Amino acid sequence: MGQNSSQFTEQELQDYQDLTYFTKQEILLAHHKFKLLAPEKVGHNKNAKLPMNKMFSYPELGANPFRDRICRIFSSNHDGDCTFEDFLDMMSVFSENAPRNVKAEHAFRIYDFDGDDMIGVDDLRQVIDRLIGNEQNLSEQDMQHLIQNILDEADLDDDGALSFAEFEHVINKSPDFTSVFRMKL
Amino acid sequence: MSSGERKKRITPGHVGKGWEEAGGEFYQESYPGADSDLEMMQTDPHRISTLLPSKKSRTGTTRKDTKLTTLRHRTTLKSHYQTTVAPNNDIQISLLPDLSENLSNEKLLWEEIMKIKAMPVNMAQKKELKIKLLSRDTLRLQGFKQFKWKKKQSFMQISTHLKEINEKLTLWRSSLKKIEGYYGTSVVSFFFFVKWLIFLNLIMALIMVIFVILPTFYVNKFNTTEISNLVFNISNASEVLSTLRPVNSFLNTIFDPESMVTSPFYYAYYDKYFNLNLYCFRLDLPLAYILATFMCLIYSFISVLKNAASGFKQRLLENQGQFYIYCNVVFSGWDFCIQNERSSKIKHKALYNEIVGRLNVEKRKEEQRNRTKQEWCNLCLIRIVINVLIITALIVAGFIIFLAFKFSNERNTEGDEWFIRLLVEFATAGSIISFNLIFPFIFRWLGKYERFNPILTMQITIFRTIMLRFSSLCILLGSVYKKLLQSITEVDDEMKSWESYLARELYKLLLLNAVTQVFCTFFINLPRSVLAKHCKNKFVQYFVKQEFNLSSHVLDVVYIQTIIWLGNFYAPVLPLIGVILMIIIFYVKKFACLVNCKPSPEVYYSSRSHSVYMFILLISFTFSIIPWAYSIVEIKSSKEYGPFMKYETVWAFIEQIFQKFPEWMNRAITFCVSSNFIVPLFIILLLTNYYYYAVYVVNKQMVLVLKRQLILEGHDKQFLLNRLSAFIKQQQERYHS
Repeated sequence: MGQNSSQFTEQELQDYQDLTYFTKQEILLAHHKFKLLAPEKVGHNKNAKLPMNKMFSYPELGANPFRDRICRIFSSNHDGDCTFEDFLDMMSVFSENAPRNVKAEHAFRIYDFDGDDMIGVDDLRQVIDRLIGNEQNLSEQDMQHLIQNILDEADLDDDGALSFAEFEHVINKSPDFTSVFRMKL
Repeated sequence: MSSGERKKRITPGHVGKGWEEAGGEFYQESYPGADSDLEMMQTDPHRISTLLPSKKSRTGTTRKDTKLTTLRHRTTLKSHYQTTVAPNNDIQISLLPDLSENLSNEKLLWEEIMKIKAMPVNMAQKKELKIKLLSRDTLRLQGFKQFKWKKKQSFMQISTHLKEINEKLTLWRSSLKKIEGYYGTSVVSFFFFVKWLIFLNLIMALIMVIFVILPTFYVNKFNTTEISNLVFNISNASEVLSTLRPVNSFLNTIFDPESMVTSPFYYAYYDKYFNLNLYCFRLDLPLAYILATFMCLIYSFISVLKNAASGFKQRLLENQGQFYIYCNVVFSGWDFCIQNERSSKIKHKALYNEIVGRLNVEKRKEEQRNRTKQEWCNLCLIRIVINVLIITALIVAGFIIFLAFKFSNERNTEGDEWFIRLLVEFATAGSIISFNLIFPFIFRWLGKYERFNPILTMQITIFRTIMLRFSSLCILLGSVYKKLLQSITEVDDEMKSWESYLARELYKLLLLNAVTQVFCTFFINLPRSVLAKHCKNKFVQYFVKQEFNLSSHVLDVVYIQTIIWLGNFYAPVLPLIGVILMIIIFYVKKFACLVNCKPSPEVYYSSRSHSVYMFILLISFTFSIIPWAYSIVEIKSSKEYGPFMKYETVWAFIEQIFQKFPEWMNRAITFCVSSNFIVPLFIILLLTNYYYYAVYVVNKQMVLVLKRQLILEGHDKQFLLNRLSAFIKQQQERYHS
């Protein structure tokens, strides 16, 4: 821990504390964890950019079916490679203290595969495919049925896709979202 | 992100043609960059939908715009207002930045900085924003405001420090995280539940220790002559200390009937009167005793209710059909805290099962509608037979427990081997616990043939198990009551203090329960799990495969808590023992969860299971209150032991206390419990209830109407967008030709 703290100035820590949902100690812990991903590289340059594959060795990311989406969303140049600051952003959003709307915003962007600011039928299909994994297979009929059910529930204006407002509405009604959309440091 | 890409494609500086007349200022003003968007729209007419205000307000924050969003928002509103009201030549004025708005004070500045966190931009941009904000002119707060602000700032600093310390001190942080990593949030919610119960019991134990146990010890230690006159059973300090040696004395209390009156584990011990004068308030033992018990029960009631309330709200939502089942599965299905491959695979499978299960429920409904009368009759018959079977089984179990109780009481164990004595001693508790262990399996097995939908099947099984556990406790209480009635006519040495006798039975039950938990986990389930890992035989697998069945574990814990509530009055040390037991249970269950079991391929939702725990806890609380309340009102307290030996019943003592109150207070209390007050109150409550029901019905209708309207609006929007894009296309073609 002592070594880590020397990598940051007090000002930097204060900045990070102001701009994330973390306290200074948690920030140092986050850096410690980031360092574990690539000890040499990060030891050399505390803000080193780690390629996406390296990021996947973070256990929570490795097991997550949306890992590449998460990395891309938080990566500052959108190619999935993350610096420590990107990692901190990510952890801040996934922390317990982040409010529901912030989490919802990022969840929406994770699920919005084609980036058209709407979760359409294709996005839903991809989300479901990733959720049930490679080993299981949903029949085409069931898949269509499921997507139809989702749209029936959530698509308030009946345009065949979920806008952010509709998504947020669903999330607000979902009691488990905040407890599930969370990674502990 | 999408807006970022969009932005890259835009070449700034050009103004969209053909739109200038149509209130160009308006568009430029409200949504900066609208002109360029318009131009882009001409190349791709479908892009027009991105111009909609509903899209703008959110994506505005993702723009790589150096302007401050919050600031822009404010000026936007203002200029919007002015352009619509004022004539065209006044627009220039509104475009000038309002200087007074930039001059914010320290507090506002700090609030704005705090808002940056919520923005979905990367750290570099956040830093930039912060620097921008800091470089702005700020007013220092003056006078009292300054003082208040300073105070708030230091308070916040302290609170972050406290939070950091708290984080470090949090009990079982790493254990819980590990479980979460393996099993996801729903199973970890069970462990949080255990932890919550530990703290509940800790507070109950504290109340008991402060008000009852410590004063009694104090009195015992400094036996003054005045008190010793009253004391029936004098025990000096060294005796107290010797009984305090926990394990030894705890076992003693169970095996030695004599200790029922000499050990602080029992009600009968608390008969040393003490008078503590705290200023104007006089506290004596009976009062302290009854107050402490009441405080414990009220505290538990409030905390259970508080926790249950949120769960009930959610259940209501669920029942009203406003709950988004499928969206919940898809959007909050994945536990982002899962961190190993194996659990992730199982989670995939669980989600798949859930989805297919949900879809099947619908199909099954269809099937139910098509069921022929013959099939329907068959199914009804099966269900009736199963229910009759289960009820008979419950009755037989009750009878056996009763017999065991009788056996253990009548059998004279003098001179027998120790293990026979042990067996006889624990016959009742043993039979209760073995039924608790075996019956749930039978229920689950029978439940399969009833062909209810899976969720209902699970609920029914839980309900039946609760019935079993409560009815066995009922039989125990009934047997003790019967013995008590007998002891009135014939002298029974054990029933000198029936309260202690009941406490003793409950202790036995608790102890045996804990022992079986530990035994099952380490000596039955552990070998099973080892077999499951190494033996691939299908037949063997059927018997050794274990899944972490959340509901049965919850019932185990709730059962312990029920006994604690039930026995709190008769055994003041029970909450303290409860704390220790719960801590043991936590580790036992953790072992069961991490080593013995595989994650269950069922999706449990943490919120739903939480509300179920609280609901079961509430039922068990009510269950444990009723016999206790009956006993303090109706059953005569034992004459030779305990704090209430001078009184006919405990209630007589409470009445006496009430009579000591001032006249007006007495009258107020009598009025409050008389029918003059209760009946109108009841009617008012009914009316309020009806009023809220009426409001609810109307609101429900309103929601439906609004939803329909929303759909129509959506259709309108799409229609207009289509028309608009067609129109633009037409324009373009005309322009090109």
